[in-house]
Amino acid sequence: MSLWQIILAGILAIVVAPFIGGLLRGVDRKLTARMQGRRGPPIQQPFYDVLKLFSKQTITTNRTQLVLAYSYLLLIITTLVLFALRQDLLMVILVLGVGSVCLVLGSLSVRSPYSQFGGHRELLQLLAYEPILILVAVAIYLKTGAFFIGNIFDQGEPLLPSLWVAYPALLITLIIVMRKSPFDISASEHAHQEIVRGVFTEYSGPYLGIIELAHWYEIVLLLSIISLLWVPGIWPGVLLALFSFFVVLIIDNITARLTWSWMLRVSWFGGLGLVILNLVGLHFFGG
Amino acid sequence: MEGTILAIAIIFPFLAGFICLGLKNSKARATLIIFTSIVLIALSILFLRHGAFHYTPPAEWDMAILVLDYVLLAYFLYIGIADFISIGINIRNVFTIGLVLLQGIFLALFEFSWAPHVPLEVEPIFFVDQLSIIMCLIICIIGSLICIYGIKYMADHEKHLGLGKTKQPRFFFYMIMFLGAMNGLVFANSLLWLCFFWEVTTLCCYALIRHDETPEAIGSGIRALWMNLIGGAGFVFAIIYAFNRLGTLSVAEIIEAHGVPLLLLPLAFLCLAAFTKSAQMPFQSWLLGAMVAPTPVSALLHSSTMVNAGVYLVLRIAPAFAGTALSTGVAMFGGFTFMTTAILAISQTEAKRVLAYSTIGNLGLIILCAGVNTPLAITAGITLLVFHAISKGLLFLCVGIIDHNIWSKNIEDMQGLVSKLPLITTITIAGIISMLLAPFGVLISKWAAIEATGALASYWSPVILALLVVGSAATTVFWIKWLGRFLSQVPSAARAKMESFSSIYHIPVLLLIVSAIGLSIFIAPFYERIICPAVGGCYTPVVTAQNWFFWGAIGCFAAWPIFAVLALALVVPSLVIRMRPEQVRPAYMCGENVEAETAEFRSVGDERTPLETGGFYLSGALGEHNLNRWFNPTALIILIILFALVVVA
Repeated sequence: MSLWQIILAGILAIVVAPFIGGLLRGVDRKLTARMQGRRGPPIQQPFYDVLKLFSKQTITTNRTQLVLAYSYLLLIITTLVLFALRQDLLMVILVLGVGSVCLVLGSLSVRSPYSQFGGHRELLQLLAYEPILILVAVAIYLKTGAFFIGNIFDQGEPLLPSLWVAYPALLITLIIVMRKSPFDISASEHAHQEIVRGVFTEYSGPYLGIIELAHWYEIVLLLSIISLLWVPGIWPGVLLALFSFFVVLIIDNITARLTWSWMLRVSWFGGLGLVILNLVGLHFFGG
Repeated sequence: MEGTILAIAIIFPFLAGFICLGLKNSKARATLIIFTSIVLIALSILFLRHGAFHYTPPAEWDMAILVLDYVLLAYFLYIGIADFISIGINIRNVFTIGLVLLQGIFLALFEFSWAPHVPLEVEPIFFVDQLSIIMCLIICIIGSLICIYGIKYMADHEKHLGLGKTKQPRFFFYMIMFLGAMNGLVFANSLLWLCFFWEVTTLCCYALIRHDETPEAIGSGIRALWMNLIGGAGFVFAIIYAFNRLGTLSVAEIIEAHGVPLLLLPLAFLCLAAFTKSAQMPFQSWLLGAMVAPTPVSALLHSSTMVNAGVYLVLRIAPAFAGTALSTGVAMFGGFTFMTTAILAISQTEAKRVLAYSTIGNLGLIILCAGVNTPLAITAGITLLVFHAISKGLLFLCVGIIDHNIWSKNIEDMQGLVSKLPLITTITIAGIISMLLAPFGVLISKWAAIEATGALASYWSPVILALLVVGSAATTVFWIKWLGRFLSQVPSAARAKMESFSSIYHIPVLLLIVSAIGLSIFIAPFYERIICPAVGGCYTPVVTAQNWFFWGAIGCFAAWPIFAVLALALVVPSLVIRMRPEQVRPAYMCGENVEAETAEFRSVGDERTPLETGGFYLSGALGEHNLNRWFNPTALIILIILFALVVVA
């Protein structure tokens, strides 16, 4: 990569990504409202919300919590930058894990029953989706011969035809990361109108804004990983990602929250099972 | 020169141990321990600078080892019989006696009747290479630090127990002698010598576990003994079969004989010995029982050195079974242990048991790497061996210090400890982070292990991978839960006050945490100087350290940029963020809070109700009782299949 490409990638990841993430959240709220027969807020509403949060006074319970909110944001941004620089996909996923861990620790650092519950459940969510993401990275490797994201772009043919079995597992991952029903066990989304929101209970004002911002980056990262399944060409991948996003919204609106053990069962025996099946297929047929 | 440094590495600790046994004065004993430690640390660095060599001591030593081996077996037999006399017939003494007899009879048959000479001579006896030097560095440096720590720990321990007559001379006799036995074990090339040192470590393990002589300690000691004797019996069969099929007992020649199909059975027996020593499923219960021992024992024997002897042996003989069914079986077995122990650790409330499960799991991961058996996997295995030894030794020492401050090892009692004992809690947190977060050494090894398993051209690789990634995610859960307990505090703006600094406690842990972090940051030069030559012994190294990144064959871990980000993300905010007292609010408890800084709220009838929080242990679904019913038989079946595969092949 030339210097200009690196700078461009950096700008894309750091500056453009939150706008995409925020817009997606706006679309999410609008579409969800329409599905529920409501009018819904304007698409730019998430930006208004976050700006308002940033203008509020800092209220907190301890310092650790504040530090960890920053760590969460910075680490998630790092994953996206690494992704844009076309680095090792497995490394990106592992660093994403570090970021999520910061969010969990932030909520566990307060002796508040709701925050503690949320933190522990967020851990279980991590337990449910991280193995799937790692195995999908391995599946991509088996097809392209390297873990570098750059190689996927150089590969020349789309991956989805050989990875379609693993695709539903990626959808499960997306639902868990976006905390959508039926896997919204650590905190619920806006559509469910909860005041005490698990892992976020003890965050407020600017720091809640930071966490929301980090979440935007997180969504963009997950969708970028999904879009890898259809490169070269930017648009097919983007369309695939948007389609996946839309499917998640529909699933969110037609299901109810389930228990953590059910989530583990679905993601391990269902999701992980599918990816393993895909891997075995790749080994036998080479694609 | 070569003979001298080997003699100092092996015989000197034995001598120092015997002197300890006679030293009643605690100051003199402490001086001797510190002196021995300094000698051993200097010696291990000398080994590193000297590099590979081999050496054969005069032939009289062969006879001495032969005799001592039977003395040791006779002592084990005595332990079994004495236990039989005191409690009557029990599974533990039946197994002890049976296994000693099995081993003794076959060893005697082999040495005096089947072997062409008595004693059988092997050329060379000692074979020092980079892998054994790495082990020597771990034993001498980490082991010595633990022994020094033990001086204060044991004094506090005996004071707490109110012991009239001190048992420390015997304790340090075994601890220091053990260091010599481990050095002998890693350098020995003759299987007979290796087997002897192997049994000496078993003896030290048994004696140190039962040190407190409570009924639980005695029971755990005997369990550790008989389970390790299974491995000892495996060793004897390996010796017999290896000599029968290759006509040699030299480990180096066995490794070079790669491709001889008949060789697989002795190798499988050696693996069995290694699995018992490393407490892999289904032999894990001895290591969990061993947690009754004083903490320095857990740190030295049960996390950083003795249990590593097993994985060291597997890594050492891995080139001999590369590409065979045994290799896949070993990978599967290690992966199964890694996953199951990580899941079982979630339900544990006692800190030392969590550490024990995590130790077994990480050793399983190293065994998995040895089974995957590609250069990248072996690199991952050796790197993990080093980083795990440092971090886990450190964590045991930390738990020991915490225990001597709050007199509890229960994780729930450690709630909010970061504001009560900030120094040791911060070190413990750093230690846990070095075990689980990218880009620390343990995680870089895990990353390399995943990439290597993914690249393995075997139909079993997806299954092994699944075990690896599920185990890895479960690992995150149990560590983070524990970290969460440390951090969980009642809202307050007050700054924590430092506890008093004790040099003999805190300097060893500080040195260990600095090396865990330092070696992770400087992983590129560390890899090039230390790990790469060890991999290069039998494999072609594939990892390079260009730009100070960690380049595998198929991926790249940009370690130092991520360290920079982590520093930026954790250290900078914690220095910059200030908090004014008026910004602090109490936590939400779904009721009116009593006062800002107390964990109480008003519930029904305006009564003050104390807030109680705790961690998730999910002991119903993930408890030992529930899961071991499935895990132990499955592990046993995998082991049986492994042997069946070898016999069929």
